[in-house]
Amino acid sequence: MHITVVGLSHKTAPVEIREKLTFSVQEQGKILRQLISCKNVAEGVILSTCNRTEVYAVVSDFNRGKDEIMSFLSDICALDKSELLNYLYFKDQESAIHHLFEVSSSLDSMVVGEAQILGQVKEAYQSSFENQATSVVLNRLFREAISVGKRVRTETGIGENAVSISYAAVQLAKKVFEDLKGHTALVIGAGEMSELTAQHLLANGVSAVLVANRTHERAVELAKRFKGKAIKFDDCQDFLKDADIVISSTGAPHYVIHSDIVLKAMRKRRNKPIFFIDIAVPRDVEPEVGDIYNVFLYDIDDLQLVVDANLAEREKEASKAGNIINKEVDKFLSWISSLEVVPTISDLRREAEEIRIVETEKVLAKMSHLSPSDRDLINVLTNGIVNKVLHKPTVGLKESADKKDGYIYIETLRCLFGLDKERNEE
Amino acid sequence: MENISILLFWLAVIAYAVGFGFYASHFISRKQITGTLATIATFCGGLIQAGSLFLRFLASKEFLGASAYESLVIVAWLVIVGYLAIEYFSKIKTLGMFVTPFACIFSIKAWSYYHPPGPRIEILQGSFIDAHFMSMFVASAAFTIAAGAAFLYLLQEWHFKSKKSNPILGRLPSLHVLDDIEHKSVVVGVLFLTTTLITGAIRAYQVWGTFFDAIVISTFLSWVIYAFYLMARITAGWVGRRSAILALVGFLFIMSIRFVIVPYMSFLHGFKG
Repeated sequence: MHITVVGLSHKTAPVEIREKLTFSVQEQGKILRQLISCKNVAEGVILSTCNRTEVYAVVSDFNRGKDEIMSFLSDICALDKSELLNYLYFKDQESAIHHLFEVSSSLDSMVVGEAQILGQVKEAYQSSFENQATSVVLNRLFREAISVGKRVRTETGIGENAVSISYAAVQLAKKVFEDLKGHTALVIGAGEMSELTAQHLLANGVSAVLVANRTHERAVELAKRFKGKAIKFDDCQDFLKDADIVISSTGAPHYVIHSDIVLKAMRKRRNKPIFFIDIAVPRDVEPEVGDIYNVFLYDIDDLQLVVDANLAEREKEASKAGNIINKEVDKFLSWISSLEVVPTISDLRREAEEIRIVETEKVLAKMSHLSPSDRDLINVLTNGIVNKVLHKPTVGLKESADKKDGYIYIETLRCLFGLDKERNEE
Repeated sequence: MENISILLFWLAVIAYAVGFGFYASHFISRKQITGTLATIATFCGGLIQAGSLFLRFLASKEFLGASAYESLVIVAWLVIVGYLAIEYFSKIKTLGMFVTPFACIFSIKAWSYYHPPGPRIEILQGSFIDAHFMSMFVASAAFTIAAGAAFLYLLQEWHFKSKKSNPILGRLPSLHVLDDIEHKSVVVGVLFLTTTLITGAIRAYQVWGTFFDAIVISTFLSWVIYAFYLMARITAGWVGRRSAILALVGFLFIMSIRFVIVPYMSFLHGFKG
């Protein structure tokens, strides 16, 4: 049984590749089912954000499992396996656990310390859980990862002066407009990211917020919250002339804003500067838009460069977080190692033997009249019973070791027989 | 009195140079102390230069400005005064890095025209001439500041569009502020340049009966550039890079008038100094 990560992130793959490997919420169920139907994959969680697509899986054999996951990914993104290989990373067991904890603590994020990733990890896990793609190991791993993420946020200063992508975007907007007062923001795509960005913008003085969303109700809801105005998604291009800051994060698979439309809007605006922040993957704003006079365009990769400057400061806090993570990884590893067949059988036998000895001693203490050979007989009897009782579970457990989800029997057995008392008491 | 004036003149140049050093180091290191020292040095430079000019005024018993030396020193001084006012209101020190070297260059160039204080020649007397000179100085200083802001604007815009996120260039003021300083400086400059042209034309007509001269025409052309700047901003939306380029072009034009046309090509302005 191996915990495995196969994935790519902003550190290994450019946005052009990442945008091919994104999944919408609707697709998740189908894709997850496809994932766990792989021969070697017992459990799986797919974490898909703008900056990463990662498959967390429990596989029976690391090499075969990783090949299966790789084929699965290449099927989805229609990229050749050999090409995909250039961008993927593979992690096994300890490094995989470590990686997930780093991800949930936001140490691996583009903006170290940003708050969104924890929610995204939660959602990914939730979706997988609901689609019954997780079981003993990933359930525990992800719950642990979420609690590590929370701990890191509360116990270190990593989240202070939060530099999420949206916040970095606000800082950039100030480089164009100085004061955001009197400026209008247009938010296209009412997702969590847009909501955060709108919050930041309002907190920094933006006077008016326009919200456009594919589902208009959601736009209305968001607009109400920000005392803004909801506009029809199809009209949002008409409102470009009124917007100084445009934040786009739709789930559209193609460009939403084209350069000819921006060009027209700029004419109406008399070249008043406009700042596009394209946080969507796949990108919403045609890259040529950035070449238009007085139009400034940052896509998600450009934001990377900007936030790099702030990373240095957070490095110190990140090392504190690293200590927390290391401890939690060790704890988790000791649990994982208990899920092996041989130690479980010996734990089971030891437990039974302890009970047998205690109970036998109790009885024998009351029967002092017995001869030593009678005593031996009683011992043989109890031994025989214990062995007989344990025989089938032991054989079953050994057989299960060959199955991809055999560790589930192990965990069940450990649970039913209370073999992890010490751990549970912790 | 003349010697003290000269001493103060050089002290002011040194103060501006020191101010430049501190502005530059403040820009790179971001230390508050260097920023404060930069402002103090430049402010002292301005005071000292004012003192130097005042002593010269006492010695010559005339309004200054009728010679190349005086005019350039006054422009340098006005650049500093204008800049310090901008710094006071906007709290932006980056522009100081650009403006102080110009004050130094103007002053040092002025020194090459130095002559002892004395009364003006007769042709350069009269209130029209005073207005003509003073408005030209203010306009030149305003255009210098505008050019500084324009240069920084282009630098910042290039940096912003290149997305290189250089930590030092990232400290440049926002595009809006730079564009605003540049625009307002040009407005001031154009107002005074208009005064310069009108008073100059009237005076030239009075004295020579004509105003067709290289300097009059070239100054008029520079006025056209800046007027176009203002008009293009309003009607064609030439805010940002295009207006910054115009401001730089206009400034180069003004500089070439001062340093090429005035000394070599103007017959009307061909009086000594």
